[in-house]
Amino acid sequence: MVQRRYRAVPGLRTGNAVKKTLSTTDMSQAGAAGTTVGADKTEAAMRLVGLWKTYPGGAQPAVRNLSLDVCNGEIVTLLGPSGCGKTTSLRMAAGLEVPDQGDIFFGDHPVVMMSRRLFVAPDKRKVGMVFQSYAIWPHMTVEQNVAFPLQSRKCPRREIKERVQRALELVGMGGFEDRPGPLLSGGQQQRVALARALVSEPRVLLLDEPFSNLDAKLREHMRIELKLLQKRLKIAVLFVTHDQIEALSLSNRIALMNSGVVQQQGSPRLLYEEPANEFVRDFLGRTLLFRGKVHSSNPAGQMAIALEGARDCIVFGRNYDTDGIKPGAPVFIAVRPEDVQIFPAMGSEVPPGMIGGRAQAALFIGERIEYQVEVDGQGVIVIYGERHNPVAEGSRVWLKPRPDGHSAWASDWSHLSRAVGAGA
Amino acid sequence: MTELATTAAPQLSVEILPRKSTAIMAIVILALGFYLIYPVFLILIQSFNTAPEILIGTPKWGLDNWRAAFTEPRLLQALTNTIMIWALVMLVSFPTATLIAWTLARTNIPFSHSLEFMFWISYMMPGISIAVAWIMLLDPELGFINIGLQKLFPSIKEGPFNIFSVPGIVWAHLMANGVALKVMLLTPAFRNMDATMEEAARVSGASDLRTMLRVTFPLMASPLALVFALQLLRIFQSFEIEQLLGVPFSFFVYSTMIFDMVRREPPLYGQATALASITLLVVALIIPMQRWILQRRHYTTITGSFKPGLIDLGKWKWPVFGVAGALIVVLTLLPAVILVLGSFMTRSGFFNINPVFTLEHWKLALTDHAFVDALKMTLILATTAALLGPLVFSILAYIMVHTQWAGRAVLDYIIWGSAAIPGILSGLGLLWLFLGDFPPGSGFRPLAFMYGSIYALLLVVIIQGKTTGTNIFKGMFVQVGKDMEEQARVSGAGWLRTYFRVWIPLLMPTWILIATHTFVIAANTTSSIILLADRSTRTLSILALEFASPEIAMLEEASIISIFLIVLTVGIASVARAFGLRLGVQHEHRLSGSVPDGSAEISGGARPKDR
Repeated sequence: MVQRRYRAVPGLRTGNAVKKTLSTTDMSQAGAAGTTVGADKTEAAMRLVGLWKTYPGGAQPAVRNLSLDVCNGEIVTLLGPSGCGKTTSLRMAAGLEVPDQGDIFFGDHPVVMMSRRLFVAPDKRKVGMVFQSYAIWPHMTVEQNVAFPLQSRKCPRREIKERVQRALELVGMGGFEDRPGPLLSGGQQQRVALARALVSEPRVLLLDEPFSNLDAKLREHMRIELKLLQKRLKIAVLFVTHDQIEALSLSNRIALMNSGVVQQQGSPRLLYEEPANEFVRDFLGRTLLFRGKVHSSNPAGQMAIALEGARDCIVFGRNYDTDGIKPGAPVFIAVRPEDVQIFPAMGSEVPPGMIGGRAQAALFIGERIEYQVEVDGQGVIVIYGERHNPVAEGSRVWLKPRPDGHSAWASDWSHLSRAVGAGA
Repeated sequence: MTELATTAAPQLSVEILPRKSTAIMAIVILALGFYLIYPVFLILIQSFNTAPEILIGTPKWGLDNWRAAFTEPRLLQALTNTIMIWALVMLVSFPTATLIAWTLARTNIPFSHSLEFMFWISYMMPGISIAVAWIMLLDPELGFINIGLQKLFPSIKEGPFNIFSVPGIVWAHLMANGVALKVMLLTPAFRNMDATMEEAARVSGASDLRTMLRVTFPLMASPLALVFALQLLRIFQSFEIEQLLGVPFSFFVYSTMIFDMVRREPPLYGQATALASITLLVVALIIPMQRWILQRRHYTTITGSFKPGLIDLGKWKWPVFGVAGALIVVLTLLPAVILVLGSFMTRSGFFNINPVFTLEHWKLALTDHAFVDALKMTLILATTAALLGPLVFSILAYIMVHTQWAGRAVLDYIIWGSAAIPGILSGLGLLWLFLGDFPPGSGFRPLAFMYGSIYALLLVVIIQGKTTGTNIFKGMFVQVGKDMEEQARVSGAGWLRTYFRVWIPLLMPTWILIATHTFVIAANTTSSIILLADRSTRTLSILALEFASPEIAMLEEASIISIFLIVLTVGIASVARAFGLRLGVQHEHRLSGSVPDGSAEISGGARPKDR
């Protein structure tokens, strides 16, 4: 088993295993064992095992060796930048794409086993799906839209009426039965799409960026409603989004994908606080990179790092390649913006635990102020400040990073961060 | 895991991964290839067969036909005549149509939408009806205009106009749809142009005229290029106008020449194939040119939301409207009135016989078996084609847009490429496909029953409508997107159910548009079916061609048929128009990989209308 796991660090939750994936070879070896993460196999509502997909004419596989379980009552999110393969993965689960390799199980039933050329068509899979566009059929009324899955599955006529009614009430659309599809607002279309996905009581609910066409307020509202609804129905949900806020707030687990490969799976908190690689670090939230030198390290990967340009500022962080960084070696320390405080300088001497700089520009963006700070010995870094204690543009400032909880990296991987639009 | 599979599989309705797609695709490509491409090869092959009876008996291979083709001056003359007529028509119609389209779309000319609609009516009027009407107007001896001029100016003894001349043929083309089609294609493109482009020029200090010359026309270069590319393939489509107006003074274009050779006793099949082959080679040179124009990057920004600022014509507003209105009258009202008038005259053009007007021709026509049969045949053919066409085209378009099946590019090339095959040649190829041995040399003629049957005509009509029909459906499939279908599949509906419950209702307007289009083609077409129809399967348009021909010269009967044709085509099309269906140049943003290259195309109006 070549899969790397992080060593336990004292004081760290180790409940979830984490994959570190930097190269494909690394990943394919790891995945070849069919390792899925996070849930007991017997209770998984859906299991994707070793899925590969290359589109005709595509140079790179869109999905490489994806393995993922979705359990009953769980929301699992596929998160990643556009083109990372997350929608392809969802479509394979729905049966809308045929994987090149791999298996899919619904409960214990195989619906795809490519080695035996077994493939169950989408209409035989009993899933519910909400498309990004909602795909409300414009030539049907709300009721006809929602009744369609039941009619297709040969549900008795009298039962249909009642179940449609129930589904519409569930999403708060009771009373809209006779409304034609095109006469619905975005939010209403979304609810109808959800009712249509749920009406046949599917084993798995598949959501493809369902909130991306809603305005910000409605999006927040629908997010909460979906979470409540899912808790009530205890249904398994596979959710695809490129919006990290959506992913962090809704998911029980997130699988963060890039270039067709799952970079890390685990709870939202795990991904945010213990990113497995530079991609995960830069994709979720924003990261400030400070340069420093390793002061000392322990075998567990915990290290003390002296920030460059400060007389006496040592912070603690973890590093995943304990062999890679020796004491005295240069290192990059990734700090979340909320973990740095900014003060106006109160003297020429920078106090211990802080690093000096000059605020070049201050941008008021409402909830906070963003300072562009020329940090001593570091270069220009954007620091967040409270709006109640503004610092004057052009003045000297002191920056105080939290003393611990950071991550340390051998490289800044800035090319990667730029390539994926880090912190978007 | 394997155990799971074996135990669980029977409980589910499991299907083994389909290899169906490959089989379906193979059948589709073979069928299309057989009816679209193979006949062309037959023509090429038979051009080397010098046996006197090429359809039966042992072939004798040799180059005699080709030698004859290049030594017999009439053959090459016919080909150059074809190109000359086309070039003359283009020379007049292209600038005229551009100017008209610009005026309709970009100035405050009154009733611009009604005028545009009238050009559309003009386009819909069958070429054969227009030709018959203009014979009645401009016949050197009996033409109403000539008679009128002679009455007005007694010094004029004959003429002065003669429709049976090269200028006459060009004039008839301009009146039929040489101008109207281009106006119809260009006006929407001009109308949808982003007005901010022009406004920026105005703000930069350019005058109206300067803006038009420096900004509007250059921006319109791409739709102009598209329309030009479309016109390239119409070079060889022309038939009935030349048949009616050219043959009387022994002026032949390639299509009338081929018809003449095939219908002669004994037929000159060998030379006809050689001429047909040369034409095919020229077409083969034109196709890459056309595709090159179509595939260049077209940067015109077309916005739906912007209301373009209109140029104020000032005091010229009404005079300009007057000119446009007069043109419309000449294009539509005049021929229609003349046809009606002529049909009630004892002898068209004779105002001095008694009685001048009579109902006899109408009585005769409506009781004439040939007429009634042709009307019935036309209605059956057009209705059947209108029902079948959209089904076939929509499935072809679906395969090309919404499947990933191998061979879609081949399908696309067959459909595009065969659009270039002129009607008369496709008719000739099919004629030999039906009458010749299959496989060649076997003495076995499995398709002989097709000759002179309605099935042959149906096949030809659907073939003729396929490129436009398929491309419009493709545009619609791209536009509607696959979500609607996928949602149905995920909701438990099978493919058939999805097609009938989701696709057909969603595409209904397009469906009706294509049905109309196919109907109009079926009612109008002459050149592609004239070699395949016999007495029992003559349509109205072929009957009109016979009546109006100089040997029979029953212009009054021809005018009655022409009126029927106008009512059928313009009538049906106007009904469809009421559904808000339009044709026009529009740019398609292709979905990645779903459609082979061709960043822009005409998704409407590319009516390979037979002429």
